[in-house]
Parts: sequence; C-alpha cells; structure tokens
Amino acid sequence: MVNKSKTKTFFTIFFVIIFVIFFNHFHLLNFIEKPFIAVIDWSLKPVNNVKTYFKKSKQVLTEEDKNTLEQLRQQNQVALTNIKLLNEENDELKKELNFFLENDYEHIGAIVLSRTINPLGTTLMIDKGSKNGISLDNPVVVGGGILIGRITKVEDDRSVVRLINDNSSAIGATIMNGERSIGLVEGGYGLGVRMNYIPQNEIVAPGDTIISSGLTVGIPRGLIIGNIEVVDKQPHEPFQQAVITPAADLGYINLVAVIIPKKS
Amino acid sequence: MIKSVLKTLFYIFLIVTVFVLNLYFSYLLPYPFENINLVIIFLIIMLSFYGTGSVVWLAFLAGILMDLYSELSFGVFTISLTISFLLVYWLYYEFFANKSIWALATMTLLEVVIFRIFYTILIIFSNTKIKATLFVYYGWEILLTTSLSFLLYFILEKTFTKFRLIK
Repeated sequence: MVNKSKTKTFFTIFFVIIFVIFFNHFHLLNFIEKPFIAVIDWSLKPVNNVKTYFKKSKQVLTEEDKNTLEQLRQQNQVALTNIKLLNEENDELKKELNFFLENDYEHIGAIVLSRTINPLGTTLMIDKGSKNGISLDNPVVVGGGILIGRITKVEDDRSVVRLINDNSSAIGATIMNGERSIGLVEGGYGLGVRMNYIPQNEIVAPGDTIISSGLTVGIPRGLIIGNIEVVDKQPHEPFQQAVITPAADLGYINLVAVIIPKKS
Repeated sequence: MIKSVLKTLFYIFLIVTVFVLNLYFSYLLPYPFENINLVIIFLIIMLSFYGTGSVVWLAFLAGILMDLYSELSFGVFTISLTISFLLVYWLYYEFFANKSIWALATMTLLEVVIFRIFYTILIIFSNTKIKATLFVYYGWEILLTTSLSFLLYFILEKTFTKFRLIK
C-alpha cells in the first residue's frame, strides 16, 4: 500500500517536472519566471558593492591604493602589448588591424549580476542580453582589452559569461615570445588556467605575455589573457604546457565589456 | 483558505530569499567556502522541523530557480533537486524521524550525495565534459554543507524547544 502511494507520488512529481521543462522550452512559463527573475536580479545588484566593500577594507589593511595600481598595471600591460604588436606588424597590416578592431567591432558595457550557481562551471551572469545585440561566443573583456571569457548563454535581458578559468573554456592563444608560439588556453574548474599544445621545440619562459591568437571564431587577435607563471616541459611529450596567471582578477569583476561585430 | 495561501506565499518568499543568499555566498566567499549549499541546508532543516511533503515542492521551486541561473540545460537542477529530496523525504519517514542532530547530519550528507549523483548523470547525458577535479568540489560541498547544517541545527536546538529530541 505504502509502495503504491510512493509510486503515485513519484510519477506525479515526475510528470510535473516534465510539464515544466516542456512549457519552459516553448517560453510558455515566461509570465511566471520573469517576475521571479526581476526580483532576484534586483536583489543581486548590491552584490558587487558588498564585494567592493570587502576588497577595499582588505586593502586599507595591506596597501591603500592597491585597486588603482592594479587597474594601472592592467592598462600598462595592455599598452605595452599593443606597442609590441604594432612594432612587429608592417604598415599595411597595421592598417588592416586597425580597420578590424576599430570598424568591425564595438563594445557593450555590462554589469555583473552574480556568479551562476553551477559548481561545474566558473561563469558570471551579466545584465545585457540579445536585446542589446549580444550573441553566443562574443568575447568579454575588462580594462579595455583583457580577455576574461566568452558568452555561453543568451537571454533577452541577460547573458552568461564563461570565464577563461572554466573547465569548458578553450581559446586559441599566442605567446609573445620570439617564435610567437600558438596554443590553446584552457581552464580547470576555476582552479587555474593553462596553455596547452605549445610546440616542444619553442622557447617559452615565465613572464611571457599571452594574447588571443585570433584563431578562435569571434575573438579578435591581441586581447591580453595573462602571463606565464610556470612552464611544464616533459622531454617525452610532443607539446609543452604553461600555467598562466590571468591578467585580470577573475574573482573580482564588476563591470565588463562585450565585444560584438559592428552592425553594418 | 487565506491562511493556507499566505503560508504558501511565505514559503515561496523564504526559498527565494535563501536562493539569493546562496548566490551571494557563491560569489563572495572564497574557495572552498563558496561550495556551501544553503538551499539544501534550509530545506533539510525545514524537513526536520515540519516533516511534511511540501518540502519536496519547495525543492522543486528551488530547482527551477537554480536552472534559471545556470548555463546548463533547463531541468538539470529541477530534476536532481526534486528527486533527491523526494528520496530523502522517504528516508526521513523510514529512518530519521527522531529529529536527532545526527539524523539531520546524515540526511544532509545523503541529500547532497544523491543530488550530485543525479546532477552528474544528467550533465553526462547532456554531453558536458567533466573532469576528476569536479569531485573535489563535490567533496567540499558535502563536507561544508553537512558541517554547517549540523552547526545551525545545534544552535536551533539550543534555542527553540520544538527542535529538541523526541525521546
């Protein structure tokens, strides 16, 4: 008798879940979901202020102007890399690159609402969506040119950014060494960022800057990803790996810019 | 009737508040404390306090909210959280209805384990790549969520008589 009742309860709940998933798929539950989302998004607005408050409190104890210095360091790194890039390109390529960056892309500023709740991924929710022109795989930057991730899910008014330290993140990258080595920057459950598939015979050293290679669809060349911290080179393996320190503090992101193709 | 509606609305308000708090926790707390699952702690304490099946429907609502704030396919959290709470609810009636702090800790541990088993199966079915390090996160979640629920229940037990052991 008890087992019959349990079976009935189980199937009732199971069919309700199927019903909700089905109706959600066809956006038929938007009228219920939207008020909940609006209230929760509104509640999440102060989250960045709280984080900023704690960060500033910490800084007063350690170093007063650390935040400003960090921003200046990031901007300086962007400028230095740009100079390096510009020096090595010929005039024609420079013109093409400028045309590419200045004319084919535009930025959309967005506020970070929260991290998403999935422990599997290191993702952020931002307050701009498809209504603002954002689409899947658009790169997301801070500090004018530091790549932090890509758009992985888009809704009308909000989007999810997959950070570069996420397990599923993989971005084509170039090391600013003598050979301009290319490889793949991959994350690992928020625990770190690695660059894999670097050819074994190329010289890679700690401190080298890593930028986006332009080989990943939708991500322009020249966005800074980070610096090499440790090089892992095993003689029996065809490729070497490098542990990367991201150029931006991925645990502390308030404002971002999404790079989207310019509307013609 | 009105009392029942107001009670339902109050529970919905509570679960939304706990969900928002959970998002704050996951965003503001450093690793590994970001893995504390406040929603599960709240629902397990509710189950110990009231012992009614409405906890399963609250878990269902919490699952929908989690799905709305996740980049995974819609339904992963709803299915995992609801089914796991249904199983834990049945276990509660069979084995853990004595409201002891150890029963609560065991229920929390079982809930997180069952929830993550369903979650992992569903994400594998949705072709999401998983690595061994994911289980480190699960380990932290189980340890910290169980410890915090134990601590909270201990405080509540000392504060409110209704939580005390039925002997």
